[in-house]
Amino acid sequence: MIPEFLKIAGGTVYDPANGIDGEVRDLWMSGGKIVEAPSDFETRPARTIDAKGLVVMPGGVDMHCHIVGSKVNAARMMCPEHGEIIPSTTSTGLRYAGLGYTTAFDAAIAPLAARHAHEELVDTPCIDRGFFALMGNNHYIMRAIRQNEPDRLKAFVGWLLGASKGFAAKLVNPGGVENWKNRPEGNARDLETRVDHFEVTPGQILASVAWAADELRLPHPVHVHTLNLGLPGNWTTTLQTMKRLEGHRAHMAHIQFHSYDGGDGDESTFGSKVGPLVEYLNDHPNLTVDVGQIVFGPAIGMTADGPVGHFLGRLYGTKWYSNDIEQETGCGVAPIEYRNTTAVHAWQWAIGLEWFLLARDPWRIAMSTDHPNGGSFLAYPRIIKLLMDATFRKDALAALPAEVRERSVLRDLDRQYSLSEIAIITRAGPARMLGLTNKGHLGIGADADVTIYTPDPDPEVMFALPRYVIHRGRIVVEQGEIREATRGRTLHVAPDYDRGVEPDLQKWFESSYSIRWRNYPVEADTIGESEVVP
Amino acid sequence: MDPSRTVDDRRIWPDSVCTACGCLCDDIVVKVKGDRILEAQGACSIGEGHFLGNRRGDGPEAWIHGEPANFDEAVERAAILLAGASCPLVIGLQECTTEGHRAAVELAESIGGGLEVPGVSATILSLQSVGEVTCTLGEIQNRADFVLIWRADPVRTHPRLFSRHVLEPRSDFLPGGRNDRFLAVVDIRETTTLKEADLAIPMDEGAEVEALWLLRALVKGIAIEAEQIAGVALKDWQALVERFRAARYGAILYDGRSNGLSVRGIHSLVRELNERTRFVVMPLHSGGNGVGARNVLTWRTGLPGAVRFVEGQGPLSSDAGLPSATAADAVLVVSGNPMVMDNEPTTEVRRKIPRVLLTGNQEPHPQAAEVVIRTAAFGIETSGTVYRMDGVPLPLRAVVASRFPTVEAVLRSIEHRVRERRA
Amino acid sequence: MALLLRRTDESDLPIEVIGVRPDRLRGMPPAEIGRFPIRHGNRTVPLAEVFQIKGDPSDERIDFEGNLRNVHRIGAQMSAGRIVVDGCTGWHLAAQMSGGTIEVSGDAGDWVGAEMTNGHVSICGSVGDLVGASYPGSRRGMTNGTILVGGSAGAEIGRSMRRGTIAIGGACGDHAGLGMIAGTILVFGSCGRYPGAEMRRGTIGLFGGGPVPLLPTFRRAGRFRPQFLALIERELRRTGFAGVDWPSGKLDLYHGDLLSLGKGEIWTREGGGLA
Ligand code: SF4
Ligand SMILES: [Zn+2]
Repeated sequence: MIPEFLKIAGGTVYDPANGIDGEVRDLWMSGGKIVEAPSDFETRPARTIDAKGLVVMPGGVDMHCHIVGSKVNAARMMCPEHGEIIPSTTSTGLRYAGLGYTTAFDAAIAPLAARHAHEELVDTPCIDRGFFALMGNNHYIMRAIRQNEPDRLKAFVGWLLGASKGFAAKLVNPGGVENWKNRPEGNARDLETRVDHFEVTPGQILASVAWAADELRLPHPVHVHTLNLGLPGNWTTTLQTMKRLEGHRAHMAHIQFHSYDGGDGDESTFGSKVGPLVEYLNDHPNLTVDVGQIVFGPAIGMTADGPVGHFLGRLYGTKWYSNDIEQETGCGVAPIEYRNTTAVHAWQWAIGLEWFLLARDPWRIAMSTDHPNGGSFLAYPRIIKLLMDATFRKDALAALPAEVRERSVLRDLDRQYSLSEIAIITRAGPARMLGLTNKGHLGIGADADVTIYTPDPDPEVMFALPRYVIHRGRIVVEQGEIREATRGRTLHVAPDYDRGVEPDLQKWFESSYSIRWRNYPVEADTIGESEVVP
Repeated sequence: MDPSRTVDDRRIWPDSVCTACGCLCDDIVVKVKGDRILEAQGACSIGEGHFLGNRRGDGPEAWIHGEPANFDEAVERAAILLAGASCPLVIGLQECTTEGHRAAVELAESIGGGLEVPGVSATILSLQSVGEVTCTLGEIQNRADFVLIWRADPVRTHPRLFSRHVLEPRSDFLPGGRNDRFLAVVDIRETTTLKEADLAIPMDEGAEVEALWLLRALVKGIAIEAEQIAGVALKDWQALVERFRAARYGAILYDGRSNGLSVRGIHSLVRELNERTRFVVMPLHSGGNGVGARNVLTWRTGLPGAVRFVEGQGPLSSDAGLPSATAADAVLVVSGNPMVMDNEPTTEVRRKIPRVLLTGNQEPHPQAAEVVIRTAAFGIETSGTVYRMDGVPLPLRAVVASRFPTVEAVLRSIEHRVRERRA
Repeated sequence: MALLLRRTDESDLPIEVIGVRPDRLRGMPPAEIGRFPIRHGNRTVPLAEVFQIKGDPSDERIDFEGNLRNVHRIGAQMSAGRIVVDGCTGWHLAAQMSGGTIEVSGDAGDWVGAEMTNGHVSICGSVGDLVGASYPGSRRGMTNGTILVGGSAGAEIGRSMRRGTIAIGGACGDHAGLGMIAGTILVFGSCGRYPGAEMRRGTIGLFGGGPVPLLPTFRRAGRFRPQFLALIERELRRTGFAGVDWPSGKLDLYHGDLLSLGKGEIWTREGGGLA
């Protein structure tokens, strides 16, 4: 059969992974991939999109969001009044496509509920997707650390990712959640806190799982939501965490929520400590971050960090959902309203932007709102404008409370992101951080995920309304309208691990879980079209 | 993946899921010979009844107006009925797997209808006003040193709950098992569960809310001037509160069918207890897959409970929408019940409305609806995902084959015919 | 001149007249009004398909007539003008309205004045549940305005209301004023169970006589002649809320709900409160 081609003709291409910064080029695609232009000049594409004067980029990649699974669904049930921020799986997929995004990863799934998450992923159209499996408070991991059995731990991580069909190892408040489950107000305040029963420390969990992820050669390294999220003065823990990860690849999630000064009980000392943290990041190429930018307006706090959920529910006096998940994790959900008149919220907003503007290497910082924690992913075009337009940004800063306006370094920062840098933080960079060699670029063999924008003096307008969005070679958005809700693929890993651990693992499993070992792994037929990422 | 093995002339299915109550025990060893289930090892008597009571259905595959019909005719008739309605309603859905729920959402969308999973409205309303502090059953199994059963009789309704998850298990945290746990039971009558209690509080009927408000006040340290509440002396309530305080990880389990203010009261009490110690709440749901239905409906439409699809608009909430029961002009019921929904307050109204019934019951009533279509028996002849009462998803595997199609297959056939008619 | 909408058919299918409000239709040419889209069952149809249309809404008034029991959302979100209904209406009457007046000669269904922010609603007959209440998940019910009901009302009236007045001439169902933040609810008939549960502030007057079953988290504060009542009485009489037996003399006052802040007040006729 003669392959069918789709051609994007004459667009201005931004493909930073391949060193292309605004060059007029043609793109050919076929069979869902970017291909060489056919050597035979007679070959006509089945369809040509005239992209003259338009901006062509790889499809967007969201590396950290919360869009599926038991916690998101609990939020949908609890907060029908916030349906806009936590829409159905169908709308989630369509909205991502409408923004020019073609890949997204849910950052926190309890393996016990992996089957649920996969069922939602299958029902999320237009994007390729996957999830990170929570393991920061996993009993077997803590046992292996206590017994000083790194190989057992490594095998377990491999097994767990394979069984849950997850994509990466995620740590959320390692050890702290277990302590919170175990006693009121229990938590881990620093890396040396002892975890009840298990005699291990958060620092050990961090280092061991980071090591295991490296050893297993996972495409994405350990993905870390460290201790003390959202608390004043938490920057010291964040710095300790980064230091503890030296020698390993690691990703620090929603770093904005972990960069706070203060904590001495005096509210006026709350502020930014981006400075020392970003300096550390700039000097340590083993680390990457996503920002977790907040936007003013309604949001939903949604986290595997059980005690944070409790904290939020108490702080704002709102409804609070919490779910302790046996042997694995916690889960907290509470609605939030970010106000630009509230000093702490204004600081959070400024701190996120400080991160974007002070990080030297755009390849190691990714766009995120930690959707829906900092606000909806629909805010990305607005955030892009804040990054590309210093005047707009300074005007927004001017509307904030004086202490933020005057103390944030934002007022002195004139940096403006270029289109190429935007392409890096929204697609090329996250794809590289995730280890997705077929995503985030337009080289030969890449997945044919392409977004075409109409240039506009207002970057928010430009990025909010892509002209065309192509997912795996199929046109999803045309002239700004959804044309086809494509079926996406689930991306997961299938690491090789030492199966010798299984008997011990099974014994432990059956003595502690409420379900049977055999019923835990997710079968291939549950996850729809899928792809194993090597 | 098929985990079954064959020994002599028997097929043995290990770790099968029993859907007869909300426990969804997933450790049942089912032995099958031909299409007959011989044994359901590990199941309680309710579970045994569920497995062993299954017989291969015989007779017609469908009825129209009480007359035997073939599948295609029945599907055609159902499609005409539903597509022609201005306000159709799809209801039930507790007895199918995720695939059935997905198909139901798509059918409802194609006919511009409403979609409703009956029951548990109080639990959802309370979630929407105060939230919920809950856990998976394994946390209770491993950690709960205090359990309060609030007006429920799980020993009878969820026979293996105590032995598998709530009372007996030993764990690293509670090595003494039952001896390390304290069981309190509050109820209005002598129940089997009440007899097992370390602290039993029989209270007056109809005074639940007063009792819960009192407990909440005592937990908060608010002085109450009363000698007795709900027929129970204040000091006895105080003794219960002392037990709350002494717990490291307490759990309150209540009947998932409860309604009214008491559910909100229980959820609030648990939330308030978390100011001092760890506490969780769990509604005890009945069998089937209502939990799954609500989950799928919620993720597919973004709206919990009840939705309706209106031309040119996305799904709309009908939790606070319209009096759908009286408004519908055609109803599709997906149910195991041969006579259609029991415990449905609006049944009488709905009886007058033309109905299509999909049922996996082996002896359906041919006149239960205008169109009756038989489906594979849920939990025995069907595979897919089911959700336990704590939200944990489990794989259901058909242990015997059915003569009849699955719910999802029927729904998709109807939808297909609806679309063909439209085109 | 008023715009007259007369329903002529008798079908039971739900009709939702979203947007059919004086402030919206004023100045619209008659043909456009006839084409105004409303919901009929699962379809969108022009207003003229369901209603006979006469007159015009130039003076910001719409009159509804005919079988309106299954006509829902009359006056929802209206911000100004007047709606007069001759008959009984469906659900969500005056929901989220922010101004203007609505008068109904018969009954109304659930959610009357739910989350309204201002305006005046009066209903001669009885109403369903959730008068002036918050919608599911939402933190606030009505935040201002007045809802007067001549007959009785169902459950959870004034749920999470923040301000405004609800007066019920007859009886009310369970949980009146559930989670109420502030505002006033007056009930002149008997009252269902647990009034004021989780109320923070606000006033509930239960004037039906007979015993009022209160939660144990309400505390008796004494017997007084309430100052506020005369004021409200004058105000409500002025708006035509008549035929009820206003209490004179002293009333019993209870404070609660102690679980929620305890600044709410429940007033009953002497000896009415039964804790
Ligand atoms: S306890 Fe429930 S799920 Fe378990 S075997 Fe008995 S009926 Fe089945
Ligand atoms: Zn996150």
